[in-house]
Amino acid sequence: MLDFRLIYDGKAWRAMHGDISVQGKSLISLDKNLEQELVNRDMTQGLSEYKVRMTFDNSCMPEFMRQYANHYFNRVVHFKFDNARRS
Amino acid sequence: MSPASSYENRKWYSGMFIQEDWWSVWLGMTFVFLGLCSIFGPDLVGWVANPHAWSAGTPFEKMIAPMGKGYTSWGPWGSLIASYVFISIPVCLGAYCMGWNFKKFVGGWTCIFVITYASWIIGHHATITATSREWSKYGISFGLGLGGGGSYILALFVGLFIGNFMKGFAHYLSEAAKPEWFIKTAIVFLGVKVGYMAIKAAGFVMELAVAGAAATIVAYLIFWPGTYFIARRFFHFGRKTSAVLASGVSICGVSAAVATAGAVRSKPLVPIMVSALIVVYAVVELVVLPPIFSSTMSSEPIVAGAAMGMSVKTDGADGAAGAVLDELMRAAKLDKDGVTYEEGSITISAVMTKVWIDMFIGLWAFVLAMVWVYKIDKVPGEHVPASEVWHRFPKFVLGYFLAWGVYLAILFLTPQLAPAAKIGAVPVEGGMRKLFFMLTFVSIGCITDFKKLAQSHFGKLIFVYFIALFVYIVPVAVIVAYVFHHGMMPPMAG
Repeated sequence: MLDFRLIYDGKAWRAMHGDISVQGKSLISLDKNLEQELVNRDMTQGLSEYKVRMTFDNSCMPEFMRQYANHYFNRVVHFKFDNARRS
Repeated sequence: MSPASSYENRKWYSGMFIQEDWWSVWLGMTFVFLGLCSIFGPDLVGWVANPHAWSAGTPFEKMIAPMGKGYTSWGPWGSLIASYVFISIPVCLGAYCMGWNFKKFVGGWTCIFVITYASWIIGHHATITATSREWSKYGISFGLGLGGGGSYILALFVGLFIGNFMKGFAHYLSEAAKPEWFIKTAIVFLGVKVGYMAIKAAGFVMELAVAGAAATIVAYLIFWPGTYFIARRFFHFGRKTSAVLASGVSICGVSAAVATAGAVRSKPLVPIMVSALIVVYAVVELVVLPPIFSSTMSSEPIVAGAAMGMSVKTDGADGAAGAVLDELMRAAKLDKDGVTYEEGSITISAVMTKVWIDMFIGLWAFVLAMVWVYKIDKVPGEHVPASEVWHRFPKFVLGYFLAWGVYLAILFLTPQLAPAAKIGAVPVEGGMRKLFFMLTFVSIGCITDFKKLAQSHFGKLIFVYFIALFVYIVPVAVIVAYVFHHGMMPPMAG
C-alpha cells in the first residue's frame, strides 16, 4: 500500500508520494489519473489489486480553523486490475 | 512542513504532541495530578491567584489572593507571579511542541494573561458583582448583581475592543489567542468539579449525564434534517453545502462542519466559509443568549444550561456562555432567595450536552461518509477507514472523563481521603478553571472581527444561518432540553 499526501490547491485535488504527483478536478478523476500513473510506472505489473491511502494535509486549511478541527479526511482506494486495467 | 501539520494523522497515536486537542489533555491533567498530590500532604496548586469582590477602600491583598491557605503569605503579587510562571511553563511548552512561533506566542500569551487578570479583578468590583442583599456589605447603593459573570462579560468586551479597534495589537496577540485550547483545558478542570460534586449530588450528576446524552441524540435527529431541509428547500443550496451547513448550524459548529465536509468529500472552500460564519455567530450567541435564558428560565436552571449547550456553536463560546449563565442565574437566585446554587453546576449542564455532541461528531461523520461514498457519490474503489471515527474524536473529552473518574474513584473508594483531596481540587476546578474561562473570553474577543462578516461574500449563507439558528435551532433546543431536564435542580451551595 502506498501512502499519499492529499491536498486541495484551490483548483484541483492533488495526491503526492515521492516523485509521484497526480491531480484531478474531482476525487473520481484524481483516482483515474492516479491509476493511470501507477500503470504507466509499471507499478501494478502482475498485481490484481493495488491499495492506496490518501491522508489529507490539514496545513492547507486556514490557520484560524485548525484549533477547531485537526482532521479533514483520509481515504483508502482499491484499484483492481484485469490486464492492467481497473475493473 | 510545520511540525503541527495534521498530515501526521495517519496512525491512531498521530498528533499526540502536536495538536491542541491533545495538549488540552496534557495541560489539564498536569494540574489535576499536581492537585492530587494534596492527598499525600503538599498542596502544589494553591498558589493560583483568585480575585474577590471589592469596593473603594478594599486593600489589594483582599482583592486578589492565593487560593490555598498554605500560600497566604505569598500575598497578591506573589500569587500573581506564581500563577504566571507555573502556568506559562506548560502552556509555552505546548506552544513550542505545536510548532507555533515561540517568541510571538510568549509575548502574546503574556499580554493576554495580564489583560485577563486585569479584567478579572476590575470585573469583581462590587457594583458589578453584588446583589441587592450585599450592597450594604460593600457600602454601595447600586449594583448590577452579575456575580462573577461581570468579569466574563468585561473580558469578552475588552477582547472584542482589541479585535475590532486595535487590529495591529490583535494580530500580535493572535498567535496566543487560542480560545478552543483554553476552553478545552477548562473543561478538563471541570471534570474535577463533576467528580467531587458527585459526593453530595451523585444522583444529580448521573441524571445530568444520561439526560444530556439522550437530549443530544434527539436534538441531532431533529436539528440536522430540519436545517438540511431549510437549506435545500428554501435557499436552494446543493447537497454537500446543505449537509455542511446543517452540521455546522445544528451540531457543533466548526468541528462538525469540517467533519461533515470531510465525510461528504467537499472541497475545503465550503467548510472554510461556513466556519468563518460560525465563529462570528457563536460570539453573537454568547452575548445574547445568557441574559435571555437566565431571565426567562429562572425556575429551570438546568434546562437553561442544557439548552445553551445545544444552541451555542463552538466549545469555546458554549463553555463561556454556560459560565456566564451560571453566574447570572446564581446571582439572581441569591438576590431573590438569599441562597444560591452550587457554583459551576449550571456550567456543567451546558458543557455536558456539548461533550456528548462532540463525541457523537466522529460517529455521525463516519455514517455520513459511508452514505456519501457508497450510496450518493458511489466513488468506485473507495473505502472509508474506520479510523476516521478516532481521528475525529475530541481528545480533550478523555481528560474530562479521566479527571472526573479519578476524583470519583478516590472519593467513593477512599472517603477518608476526601478532605485532603479537596485541598488540591479546589484551586484546579475553581481558580484555574475560571482563569482558563477568562482566557477564553479575552481570546474569543481578540480573534473576532465583525467587519470580516461584511467584507466577505457570504451572500445568502448569512441569512440561512441566522434563520436556522434563531428561528429553528434555539427554540427546538429549549424544548428538547425541557423534555429531558425539566424538574432537575442543581445542588445548593454550602
